[in-house]
Amino acid sequence: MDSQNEAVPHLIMAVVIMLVFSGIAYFGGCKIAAMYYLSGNEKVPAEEWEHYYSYLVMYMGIIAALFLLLWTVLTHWAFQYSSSGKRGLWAILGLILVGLCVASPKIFEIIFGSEKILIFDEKIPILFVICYCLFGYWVGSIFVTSERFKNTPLLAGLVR
Amino acid sequence: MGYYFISVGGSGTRVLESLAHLCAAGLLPNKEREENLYVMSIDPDTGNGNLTRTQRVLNCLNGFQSVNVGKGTPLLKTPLDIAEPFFWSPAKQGTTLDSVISYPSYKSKPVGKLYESLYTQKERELVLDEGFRGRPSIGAAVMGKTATADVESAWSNLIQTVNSDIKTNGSAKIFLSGSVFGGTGAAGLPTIPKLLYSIFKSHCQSGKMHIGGALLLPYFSFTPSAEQKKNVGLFASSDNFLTNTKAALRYYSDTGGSGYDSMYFIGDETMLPMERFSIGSATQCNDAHIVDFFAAMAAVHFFCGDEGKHCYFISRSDDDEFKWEDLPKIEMYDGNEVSVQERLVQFVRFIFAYLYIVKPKLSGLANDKLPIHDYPWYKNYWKDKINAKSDDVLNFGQYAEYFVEWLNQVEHSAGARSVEFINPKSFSTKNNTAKILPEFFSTLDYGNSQVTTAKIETVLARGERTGGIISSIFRRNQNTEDFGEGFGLFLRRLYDSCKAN
Repeated sequence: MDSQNEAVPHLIMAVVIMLVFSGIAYFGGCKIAAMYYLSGNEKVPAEEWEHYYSYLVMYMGIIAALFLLLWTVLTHWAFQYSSSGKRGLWAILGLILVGLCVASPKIFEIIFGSEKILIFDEKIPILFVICYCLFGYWVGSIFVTSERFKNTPLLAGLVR
Repeated sequence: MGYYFISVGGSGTRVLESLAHLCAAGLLPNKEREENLYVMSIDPDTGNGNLTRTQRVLNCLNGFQSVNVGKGTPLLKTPLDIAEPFFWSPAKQGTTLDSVISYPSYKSKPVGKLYESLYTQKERELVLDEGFRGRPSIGAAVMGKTATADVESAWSNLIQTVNSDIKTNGSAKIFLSGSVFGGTGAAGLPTIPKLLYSIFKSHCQSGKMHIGGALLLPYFSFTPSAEQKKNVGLFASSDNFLTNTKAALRYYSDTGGSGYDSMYFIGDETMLPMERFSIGSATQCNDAHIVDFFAAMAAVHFFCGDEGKHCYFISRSDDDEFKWEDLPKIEMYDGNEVSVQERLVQFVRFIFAYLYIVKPKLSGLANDKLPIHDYPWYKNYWKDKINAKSDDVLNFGQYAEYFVEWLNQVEHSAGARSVEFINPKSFSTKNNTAKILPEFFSTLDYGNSQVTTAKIETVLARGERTGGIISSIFRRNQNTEDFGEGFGLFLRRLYDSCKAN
């Protein structure tokens, strides 16, 4: 299988990985909300919370998928052996994603949070970081990176 | 079966250089690493630039052929056996024709007078350190007198090797190559087979030994300057090439092959002017030519072919171009046919990949100036496994440079016609051979394959012996010994990654 042929499965895999972890983030978030935010809170109906939360998960899933796809595309088509600093770029993309995972619930809270429809404490950002950054981007990138740079994501050498 | 190649004179030596490259590319028909190619050279001009160049290629090849590249690969499948001594000079240092045939002792006798009538004084007193200067009549007399197995170790070693080969493997094939229009080749090509036949008469008659030859017809010319004409005395003149050739061909026709089982006559209708004129010695170092390549292919064909007497001819599909389609397929020992294009182009990619992808990165990676995690091939195969300063690595690196130099010369040897084997755009300029342009990987053989730099890097990075968890689970039972070890394993992986499909 050459570079061109392996790129397409990798792109599909990146999308699937993010879909799976978006699902985990959604159901996990709903479980956390039921346990900590919604129980006994009559001002915030569960259906309405889940409705807004599903948007948040969807947007965050799209953003994380774009980051993973960007990394996949870079390793398959853009990177040359002659240039270094690829792990640095991989880390920067990951850190930006961490920032977005932390900030996006807060941004949603500011936009839609009047009447406390969406209340998030640190649990949802942590869940997002785990789902989208730790598993979605980090572990995902280990599997979707071109073989030429298969060791570039941190600790990828242990797995591949 | 044992394979033997004897180059005769400067042109023959250049054919040997081409054959050495074809041998490295796995184009000889032998079983993997079981039958050797024994090479030897005949040249009175031992300082000849062509001979020196070929010798350095052979030494480099010999220097890394012991690397273990595993099983089931044509890469380095034919071990090279360089004769000891490699070259045999029919004339010792400072020898003249007079001294070889002991003219002073016959001077006053009728035979001495006959000798005087056959050779001019200049010819008789010519010091033969720089060859026979395009005079086969001198060469034939010298070789006839000096080529005896009893006293010359080069010959006795050859005879011993052939005899033991026939005893072990049942048969041997000896191939000679040289020009029929020059001095040494024209003198040696009819003389040596007769000598071999007389030595191995029983083997030849029983069909256990076969002698073949590529006899080169004129394909180049040169013009000495007026000053050179004045200073060098006797010299080979390209004006006489066609006359010499006509006489030689008549001789072979009249003698019914002069001891050869198979003869290949290869020449060119265009006589390419040489850039520099030289009477011999180190300055006689001509670029490799497409005719040398075809003569080396003739040797391969002879080694592959059956033992009957045949008349072969080869032609081109286009007058102005040399193409892959012009070359026949090669039949291996097991009857499988191999495409010359497929095998040679894979080898070219392999050499290019080593020079372009691997070599420039090695020092940076070894000094931690480049990030190792971006170069999985280095982590998989090289780091802590290969000593970059070992003889194997150094010899291979040097050989790769020589191969590119040779290939570049062949590509530019057809004058106004084009050699459409390897895209000449792959090289930056004619003289800057080491600079290969990677963007031409995909069109290396004129777009017939989809192999790109990225594909080679990807396949090479994939690895078979990585220490990863997933790799170790799924590849636990794989027999890695089949892929060689150390530097051999790395070369094998690089070679495999250069395969077209």
